[in-house]
Amino acid sequence: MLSRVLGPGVDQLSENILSVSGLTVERMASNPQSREPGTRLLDGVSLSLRAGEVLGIVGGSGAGKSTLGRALLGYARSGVRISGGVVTYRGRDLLQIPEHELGAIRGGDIAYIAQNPAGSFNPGLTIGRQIVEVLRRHRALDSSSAKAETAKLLASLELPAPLKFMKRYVHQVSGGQAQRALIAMALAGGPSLLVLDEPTTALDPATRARVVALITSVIRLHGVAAIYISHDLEVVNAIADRIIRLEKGVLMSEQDVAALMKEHAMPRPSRLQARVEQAPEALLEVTDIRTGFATAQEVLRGVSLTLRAGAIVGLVGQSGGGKSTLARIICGLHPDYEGHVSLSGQRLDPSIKRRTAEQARRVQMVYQSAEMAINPQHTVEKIIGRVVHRHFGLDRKAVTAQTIALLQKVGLDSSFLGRTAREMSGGQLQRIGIARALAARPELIVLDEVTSALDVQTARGILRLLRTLSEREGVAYLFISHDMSAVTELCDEVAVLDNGAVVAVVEPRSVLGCAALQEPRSVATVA
Amino acid sequence: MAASGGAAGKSYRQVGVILVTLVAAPALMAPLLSGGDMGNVVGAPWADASLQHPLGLDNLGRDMANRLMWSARTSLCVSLVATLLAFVVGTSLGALVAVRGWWVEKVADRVVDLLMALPPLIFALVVLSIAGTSLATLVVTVAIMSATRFFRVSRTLAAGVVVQPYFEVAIARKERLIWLIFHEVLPNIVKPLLAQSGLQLCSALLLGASLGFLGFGLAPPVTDLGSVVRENAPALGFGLWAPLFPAITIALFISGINLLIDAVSGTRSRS
Repeated sequence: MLSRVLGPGVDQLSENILSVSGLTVERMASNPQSREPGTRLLDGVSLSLRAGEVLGIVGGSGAGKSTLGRALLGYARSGVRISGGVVTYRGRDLLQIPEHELGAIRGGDIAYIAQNPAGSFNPGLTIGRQIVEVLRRHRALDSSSAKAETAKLLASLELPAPLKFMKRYVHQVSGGQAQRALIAMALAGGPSLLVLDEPTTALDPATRARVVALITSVIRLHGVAAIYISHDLEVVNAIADRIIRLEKGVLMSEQDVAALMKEHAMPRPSRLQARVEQAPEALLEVTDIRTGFATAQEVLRGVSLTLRAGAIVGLVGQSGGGKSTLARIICGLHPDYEGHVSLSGQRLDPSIKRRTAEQARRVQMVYQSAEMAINPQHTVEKIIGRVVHRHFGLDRKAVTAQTIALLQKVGLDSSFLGRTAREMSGGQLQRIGIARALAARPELIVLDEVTSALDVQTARGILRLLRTLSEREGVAYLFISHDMSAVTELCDEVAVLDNGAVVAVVEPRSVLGCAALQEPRSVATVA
Repeated sequence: MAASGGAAGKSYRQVGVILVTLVAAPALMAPLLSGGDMGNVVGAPWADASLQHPLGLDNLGRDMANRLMWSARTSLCVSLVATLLAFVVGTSLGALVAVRGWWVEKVADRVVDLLMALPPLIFALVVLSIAGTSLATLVVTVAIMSATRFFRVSRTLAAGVVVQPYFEVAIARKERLIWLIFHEVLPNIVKPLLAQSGLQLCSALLLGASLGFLGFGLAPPVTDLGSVVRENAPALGFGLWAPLFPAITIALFISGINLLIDAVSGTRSRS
């Protein structure tokens, strides 16, 4: 009896739904004529996955995790090609079958959930319509039942008011909501394999915990097999049945999770007490900033903040709480506000257009998404050199020399001069972003979530770099983040933003106990 | 170009190159190939093909092959120059409007709406009957009609660039308009615009040929493909091939260009 009940299930379990052997992916040589093999991003990766199993893949930035995730769908980014190996899904090699059959499998049988949910939706179509399209294409539902199914899916992912939500565009929802909608879209095709590529990396901790719980229950509920790619070992450990580790494109043997955890654990950083007493002069003063005052959705409701020269001030708070808006206000990129911003006692115009070049130079910003903040067509030499040229008007030779010096400051070298964004990893891109900000020799750098899209090790490298630079260059930082460990490591003091106002300016260490951050708000308002 | 389906994409490209070369190369080398013969009467009207005159003779007894080469030369020249002009003007104006609204946006929008609402052929007929047909007016007229399309496409693409953080970085650096347009925006939108210019080249050629057919082409001795069709149209009544040759020339060239665009933009290699 029991065996009859379990029988088919056991058989299914023992069957490999996906097996990969000798998968090799390489970056194409910049000169297409050259016969030399390019850099190997993945080197002979082999793995297998049974139906209903969850496999975790961990590894540092640039280890080839995302490349592997994409290759599992038979896809390689442009400039990169799958040069060898076999990816067998239900007995068929995905690397050999024709493109149109692959199209039917992708998004249907195998669904991919990307790191950047906002970029995975078409900005010109409503979210509902895009999910309906998946249902119609892969499950051949008619329009009305597809709509009903979409609403059901969205509701099952705890999205508020599904019918209303379906009519929204991706820019009208928060990162957490977009991520959940993306999961709904992936499930819409009725997949038997989900590939999740860092699905929670860009979310704040409270939202992240909920999305992880949701993903876990969805995987169990639908009985799908999943490959969960992340650098966050704790998350992977909570979800995966097995964990494998990727390093520089090579699969390490399956490792003991406990040993892995130990290796990745972050030591508590020491405090930088001494700096707080220095530099009494106020560099930046933000007074009673309000935005969205004309509408019901007032995001900032009277934010005031003071930053001394050379100080490092953290700004923490829930996602969607207006942290990035404040950053853009300080930089003159969001002129629609009340209140005022002054630099060294000098009141700044709300719009960058009417600020002087000198004022523009003194405040620089580094963005969360380094990749999008760098023009994909420009080389590093142009990206950094342009800033040097613009603010200091040096000749070409001096600009190049300066650019190389800046690259060295951020731990890169002159070999990067000719590279474009495509040819660099996330950590390297963020270093370029920092070098570009430094190029203007600013007094204040606004760092907007600069480490949140990076894995732990790369993020720590960036934090170390930021600390060294602040000591050497004496530049002040406004460090916006939801990563508490980064904030405690870097900042002298921390402003806590809640409900649109700064509720406390505290010692970094006491942030963790701060009630405003512990209390997750209701689903509807948070996400 | 696309990751897979490379074989199909490649063969489309090859066929495209062959078709375009088939028309463009003789047009380019017309003075050489024709031996300077642009319109000498060498026999009876619409005489049959012979070894000396592989496509036969035209309505006045001129060598059809020579007429075709010379007329294709004019037609290609006019459409190429017009498309180039339209590309430059339409694209930069579109990018400008996307980067800075100002009054330029309002004016350009109205003008473009107006021009796009007019049937190209009727607009061109009116302009040419007022201004008279000269090489310059013909090119400019065709270019204006084409520029509206470039404007629309360029503006839409540029609108996607100006919301990117890297564009904001340039704004924060207080970059000038020229830099914003030519360094931040255009390099990121030029590829789809090149595909668009292939399409526009085809429509420019068709518009030019239509004008020639309606008798608004350039004055003799210069000739274009449309004029050759018109001159030989009566031959249809006698069941002769003559007017089909220029028509086939146009068809070959346009098919070739379209295949090339498809190969380059990768549309044919997807399912």
